[in-house]
Amino acid sequence: MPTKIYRARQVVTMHRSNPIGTAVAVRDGRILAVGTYDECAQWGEHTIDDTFADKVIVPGFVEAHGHSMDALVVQFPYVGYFDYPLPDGSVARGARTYADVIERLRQADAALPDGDVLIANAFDPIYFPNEPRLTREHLDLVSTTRPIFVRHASGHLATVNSALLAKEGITRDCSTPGVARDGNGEPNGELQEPPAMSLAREASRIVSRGSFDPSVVGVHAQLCRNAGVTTSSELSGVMLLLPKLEDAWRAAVDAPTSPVRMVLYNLPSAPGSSADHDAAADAAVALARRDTPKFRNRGAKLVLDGSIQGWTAMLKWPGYITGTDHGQLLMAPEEMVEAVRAFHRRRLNVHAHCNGNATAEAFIDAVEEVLAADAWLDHRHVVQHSQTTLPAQYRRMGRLGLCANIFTNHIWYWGDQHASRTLGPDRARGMWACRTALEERVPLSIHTDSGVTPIGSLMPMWCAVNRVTVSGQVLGEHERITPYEALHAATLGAAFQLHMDREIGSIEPGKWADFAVLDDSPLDVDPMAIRDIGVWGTVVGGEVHAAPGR
Amino acid sequence: MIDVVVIGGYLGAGKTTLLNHLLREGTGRSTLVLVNDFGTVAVADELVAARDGEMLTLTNGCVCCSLASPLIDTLVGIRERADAPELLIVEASGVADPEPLSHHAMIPGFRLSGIVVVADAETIEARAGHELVGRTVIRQLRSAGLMVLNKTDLVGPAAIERLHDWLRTVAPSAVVVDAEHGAVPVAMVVGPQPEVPRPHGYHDGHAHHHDVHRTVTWSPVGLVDRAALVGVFEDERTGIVRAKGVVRFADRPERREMVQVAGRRWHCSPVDGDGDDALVLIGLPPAFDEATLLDRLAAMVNARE
Repeated sequence: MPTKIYRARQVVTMHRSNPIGTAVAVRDGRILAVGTYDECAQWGEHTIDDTFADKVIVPGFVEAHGHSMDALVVQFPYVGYFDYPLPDGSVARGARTYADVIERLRQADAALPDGDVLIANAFDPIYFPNEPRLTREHLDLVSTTRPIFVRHASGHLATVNSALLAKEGITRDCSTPGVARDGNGEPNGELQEPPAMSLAREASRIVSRGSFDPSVVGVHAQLCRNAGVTTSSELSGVMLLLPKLEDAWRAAVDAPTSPVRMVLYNLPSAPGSSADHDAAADAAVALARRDTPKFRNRGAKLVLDGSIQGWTAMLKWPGYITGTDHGQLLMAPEEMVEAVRAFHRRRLNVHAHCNGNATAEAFIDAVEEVLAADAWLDHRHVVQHSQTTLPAQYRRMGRLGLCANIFTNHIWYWGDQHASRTLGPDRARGMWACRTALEERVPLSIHTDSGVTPIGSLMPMWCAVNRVTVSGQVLGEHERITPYEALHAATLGAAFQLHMDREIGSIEPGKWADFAVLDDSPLDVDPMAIRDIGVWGTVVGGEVHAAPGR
Repeated sequence: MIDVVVIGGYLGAGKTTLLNHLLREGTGRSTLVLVNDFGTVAVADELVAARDGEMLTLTNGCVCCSLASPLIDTLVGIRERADAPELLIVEASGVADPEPLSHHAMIPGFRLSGIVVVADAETIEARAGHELVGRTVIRQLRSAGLMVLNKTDLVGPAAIERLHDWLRTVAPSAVVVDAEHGAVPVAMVVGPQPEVPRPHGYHDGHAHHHDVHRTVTWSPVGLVDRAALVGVFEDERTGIVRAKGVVRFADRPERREMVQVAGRRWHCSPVDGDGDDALVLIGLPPAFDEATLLDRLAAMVNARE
């Protein structure tokens, strides 16, 4: 394959010995050389590509905690509070008032064939503390004939209209728990938790059918391309639970039209249920042998608790400042040890969802116990989300070789709510403690949990650097990190946690030619402008993928 | 309608031991068992009719499979099957709260038979006080209708008596049954079968030496006072462990209702069709006294108009 040299305004490599260049040479999908054009040209015959002459090339962003089900967010009409990017490069505007929600649903209603159920997604009541609960009466303003099903962002609730209640036969006599009632005992349209949500049979069928469908991969890949992400991840991989899907997923990821590498961390058991972890780890080893350059199956994902804004994360004393504490571990500490041991022994790393600091502590304990008997020092097990991890816990993590992948997007999206309603202002300032993690030598990455917030690393970088909330307050100035540290966390830091830093994460000869092509360098712009930097598109394994309109 | 039994309890309490016991004994009904970990199902080879990946079919009509999808999707799938079972047993994970889990059995097509929680007599008190899992363990105990206090062979009689006292305060709605190696009468776990007429005072505990449980059938002729019947279920002095049957209540005389009792928790759900009203009750003597109980029940029936 011939050599191509891309000339650029700047190449930011994240490679210490060779940090900045103005050209990068690519051969056979890999980086041949980086530096000045003249340096690159010494490799002989080549063509020059000046498409990026006025652009800044950085290592392709690596999302180490993503979900391809973000495709579902954009496949249904969107009634979330914040703007959400769509695959075609346009943006679904956030619905900031109930009037916005109703108007958005009216537009969707007008666009839908008669008789189809209208499913909308991502409504979040936490942003409407001064409004009454959303009920069928609101949705009846949209239609009294078409069934409407509004799924909440948490996935635990839905609000439906009177037409849906009537069509599905959900009446005052319904005995399923979770059917919320008005003052007269009639269902008010809110269906709480899966059993009640399942009463909306048609809508539930449509939503659950889409969840694991390989077609989501293609949509997710477009969202990644538009955001500069060249390696994404599915942290709720189902290849161990539903092995029949493996071939279809591999084919979808390997398709040339799918411009992103996908790393799967697979669930050994459905969240909240147990498994034979040795058998699951054996299956994971076999699965990894069938990896391709784009489709990777690494170790295990363990879901160990819930969410902070859902009051289901498990916190150490003194717990939540308002609301009712529903925190609980989703896996017994004894079983955590067995799960970690099974994958650790086979040299596969474990990514553990730990939103609450009590949960993080249980996981750290488990890793320590396993490590004491089996000294794989390069395990890179990861505390995922790590939103409330405490300084003493980071100190242990640093010594035990544990990584942190911190959900910094929360600072902007939910920071005000955490300060006022979940942890209170003092402890909220210490959430997402990126500075503490780095000081304690904990390998750091930052993420979007795509589907929960939009894929793309500029936003988590912006959050980690500025720590500004929606209301404009700086929440925890002492935990800020520099733009360079943030870019490292979003590239090489993430690649490290996926055990892929040999291949990706920096612009270094021998690695895959995976680039994010930006209008400006995140290291040079005003830090408050990092999230607004334009993304031209990506290069993945030497293949150029322009975002729509570029 | 598919009856659902939820089996909960903390990791290591003996849920799998109890399940294996049920699978070996059989339930007398077509049964699907959803287990956490397929690998721990231990039954004799001669009981195995077929083994297919993640599904195990036994010669006694039980089918065992592991849970790969969210429970709600699995239940909807089971409901739509042509060969839907009569009984579904769901093994909760070691940290699950069986109470919200049991709500899955209250969707159309299913009805909750009862929540059975297994507790390890040796460790339950320590677990309940544990910093990280104590709250989970307490929630599990509180959700129990029937509680199987397992591994009683590993603690002394005085300790068992103290545990019963403690459990009465922690889990007031549970009826506690002692067990070694999960061996409790199958009907206590999965409920009696009123569909099959049985002789008065029928005793099905043939496999168990120390099993002294009694079964009595009550056939009310007329309408039953709901509050009075509930009063019986909630009264610990009756010694009732389990009950199941169809009756007609005075406050809703137009329909028949299936009543299912586990410990001091009960559920009623309307049933279609006509037939004789009958309630089968299982209890433990001496508190469970047939004559006293039948007298008390008879007093709450109004003659049918």
